[in-house]
Amino acid sequence: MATADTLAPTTRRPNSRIVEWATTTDHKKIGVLYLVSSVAFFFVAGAMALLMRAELAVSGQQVLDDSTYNQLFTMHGTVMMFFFVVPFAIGLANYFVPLHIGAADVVFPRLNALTYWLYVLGAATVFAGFLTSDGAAAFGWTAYPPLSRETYSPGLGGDLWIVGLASSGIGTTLGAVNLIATIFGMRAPGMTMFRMPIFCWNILVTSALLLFAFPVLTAALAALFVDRNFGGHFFAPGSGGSAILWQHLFWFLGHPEVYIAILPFFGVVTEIIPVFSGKPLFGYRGFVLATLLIGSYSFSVWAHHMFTTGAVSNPFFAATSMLIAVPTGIKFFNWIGTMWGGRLRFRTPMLFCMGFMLMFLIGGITGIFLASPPIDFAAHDTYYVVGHMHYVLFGGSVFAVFASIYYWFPKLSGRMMSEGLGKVHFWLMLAGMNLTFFPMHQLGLRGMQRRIPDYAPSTGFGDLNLLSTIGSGVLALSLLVFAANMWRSLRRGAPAGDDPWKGYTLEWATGSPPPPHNFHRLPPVRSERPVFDERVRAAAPRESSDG
Amino acid sequence: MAEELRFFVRIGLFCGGAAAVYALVSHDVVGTILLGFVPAAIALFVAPAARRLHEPARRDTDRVGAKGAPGGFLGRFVGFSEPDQPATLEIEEEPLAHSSMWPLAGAVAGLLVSAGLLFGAWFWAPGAALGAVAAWRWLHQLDG
Amino acid sequence: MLRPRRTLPTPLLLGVAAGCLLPACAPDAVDVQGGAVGELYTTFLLVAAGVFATVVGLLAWSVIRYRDRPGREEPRQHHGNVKLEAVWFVIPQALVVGLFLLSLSTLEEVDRAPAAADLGVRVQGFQWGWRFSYDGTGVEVTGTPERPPVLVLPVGRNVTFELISNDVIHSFYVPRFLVKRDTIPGKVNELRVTVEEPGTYRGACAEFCGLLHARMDFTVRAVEPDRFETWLDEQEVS
Repeated sequence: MATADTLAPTTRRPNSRIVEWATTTDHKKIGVLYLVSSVAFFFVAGAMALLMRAELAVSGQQVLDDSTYNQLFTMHGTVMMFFFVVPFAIGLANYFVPLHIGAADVVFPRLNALTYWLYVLGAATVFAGFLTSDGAAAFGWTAYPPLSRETYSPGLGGDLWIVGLASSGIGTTLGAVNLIATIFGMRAPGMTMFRMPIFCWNILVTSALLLFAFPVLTAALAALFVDRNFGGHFFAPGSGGSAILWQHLFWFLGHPEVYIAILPFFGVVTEIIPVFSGKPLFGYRGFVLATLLIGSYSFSVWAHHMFTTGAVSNPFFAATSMLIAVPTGIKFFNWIGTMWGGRLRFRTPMLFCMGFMLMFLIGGITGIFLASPPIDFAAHDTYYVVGHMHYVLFGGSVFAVFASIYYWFPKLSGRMMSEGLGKVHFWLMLAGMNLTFFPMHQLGLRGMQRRIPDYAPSTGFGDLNLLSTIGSGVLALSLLVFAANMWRSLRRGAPAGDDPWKGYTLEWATGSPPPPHNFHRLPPVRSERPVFDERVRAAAPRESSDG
Repeated sequence: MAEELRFFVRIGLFCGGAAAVYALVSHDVVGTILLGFVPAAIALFVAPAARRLHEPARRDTDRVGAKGAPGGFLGRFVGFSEPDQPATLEIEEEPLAHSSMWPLAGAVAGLLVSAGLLFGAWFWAPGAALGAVAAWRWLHQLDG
Repeated sequence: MLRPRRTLPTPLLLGVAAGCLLPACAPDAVDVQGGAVGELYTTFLLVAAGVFATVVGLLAWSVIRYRDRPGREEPRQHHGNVKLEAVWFVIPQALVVGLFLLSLSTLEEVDRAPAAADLGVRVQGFQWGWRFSYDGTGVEVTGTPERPPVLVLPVGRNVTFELISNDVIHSFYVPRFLVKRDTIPGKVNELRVTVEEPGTYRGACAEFCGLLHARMDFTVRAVEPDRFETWLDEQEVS
């Protein structure tokens, strides 16, 4: 993005652009690196999804063979979960947490750079699987042994997958430490914990989840690596190991991971809705409490992915998995409470937030269905789950990703994005998303299982699959509109100014893009909306704000 | 208790309670250990670290009329070393962290070591060498 | 033409609402256990429709009523209402507790051991096919992707499936049963099914198990008990 030419390097003397970006320790540049890389991975993994949808459009195999298909859905899941959603959130956190709390950088700038490079090199390692003779990993992003052991998946792709994930996982863990330390240690005077933007609270809880969940994955990956390469028996049922053990370890990461993938975006939406409603957030403390509850609950729900294994306490996990819906419900009502009585400006970021709420609502509701073990007996491992999870992760996270891009692009680049193209993008994406993912629920109930490249004509899955594939084409079109908007706005977007949206939080109190040390001047922080308070003070100098 | 500490203690208490209930309901060793891992990590590592870090915060960096937990105790990092600042802060330009190639070099060293796991141990020699140099220069750079 | 809005009939509205729910309905189960699951699903669907309508209604109202129009005054800076928040904490909480208790009773129904297991079938999933062995008879049916096996079952009898695997994890899945269970190496799982309706049903592997996962199909043929006995007698004992 265009930050490079506007940042005047005063204390650094970079030799060239490439060296400058490769050696940067500036949280904003590292944030931009994270954002650009993760969006690139989003497009790559999205292209994989389009290939899979093309294959499934009609019965019979036309586009891909079995092995390629298996590699594609494995990599699609892996890349979207580990190299897109989470790194995008970390990118946003990198860029905006220091700005939100009035700091000049994160606590450990060099560590910050290290986390980015571990992530990118890890992702490259996983992708390198495509270059090997047996292809990339093809055991699903969940990598259940014994299938993922060397006996059944002997290729090098599987080992590259393990090593790459471990590398980027270590990077993510270090990044979480950095963010927690920054939020605890670098807040500006007056910026108490309960005056932080909700985005920072959500990043804090997300980081705590990362801190406790990723080491478990790293350990599990190490064990799987030993099994595959050094004759270990951790997950070998015949030799004293257990196939179920992996599922426990994986989902102990995997379910917090789902909340890691959504909590930052709850934060994004919670920043945007008040600004475009012209009101403060309804129930700030309720939001913090709800986020904490989601974070805590998320450690105790992992085995709802294992109801059909017959190896876990189904009632316990049904109870916790349903309870976790309650704090999410609180957030919904608080968002509506924020809009209630406000003056709603439906600019593109706000539209994406509305789309987020509608789509995530559906995904959340089907989540309650799946939390009920008997219903899960019917729907588990079918397209019902695929539909549910895409309403959560695409309808939820990805809509919020675009809300955040439209909202913060002016801050990052100093230019506005086109409202017209933005709205076309939004409506196309909303239509495409529902066309693609809604039919999946019915397909799943009728018995279409996950992870299949083909189905018999007699199953009657053809019509709905074709509909879904058409929907994926609409989605692809909407993303092209987005890319065009980005391309155009970077060159010819209208100048944004410091505060194009009449924002509330500290990033709007500095330049667009911000100077290397972030702030020349910091407004006093006396509520969670310092920039709003200052605007009120400027309008009516005698009155003091009541924040 | 500082808000920072309370944050972790709450998560730990919840997971500890969940571990106890889970152990009673399921008699499953793996899940109990996993749930117990969270409060254990908090009690043994995170909470002591949070407490230790919080000591310097007792000097009041929070003069702007805040209730609850005070502002950042590492604030001096960005030029807030004077506790009695005016309500509106004029921030001087502080020297920021230098650009550094050692994070990238460290990550490449990690990549070489993991390549050694996959393709043969001879990758470890350049990996370890680069890692050592990167770590040395990184630490050295912190002084400057 | 007199006041046409008053004549909009409630049944029509209900019909439209039901039409909206239709694409989310589960197919009818053909077994007792699946019947219980289907009923639970329908209950969930109705509650979900209510929740969805409430939230979307509130959302739509605030979007229409509070959108920015020329002349709208500056909104009141309102920071929240703890009582209101308590209300929308307690209502969803009560709702999920209710749904949890319902799930629990259905779960018990699905997993409950029948008074007498009339027939035991040992199901082995393997890469990539199924082997069905009828307990106490020596009858065994094996199938591969090229020749998918047929699992013949008597209607109205309590069947207990013993699910095993010797290679990787599979999942024994007959969509119309509305229940499935994994076959896991190193573990013996049980699934109890009482088929009620005679017919031919598709079966598949639901847990991804490698290259030919999609082709691990089988067919369930549910027949009257006397025809089942005849069929069993005709089989060669392996």
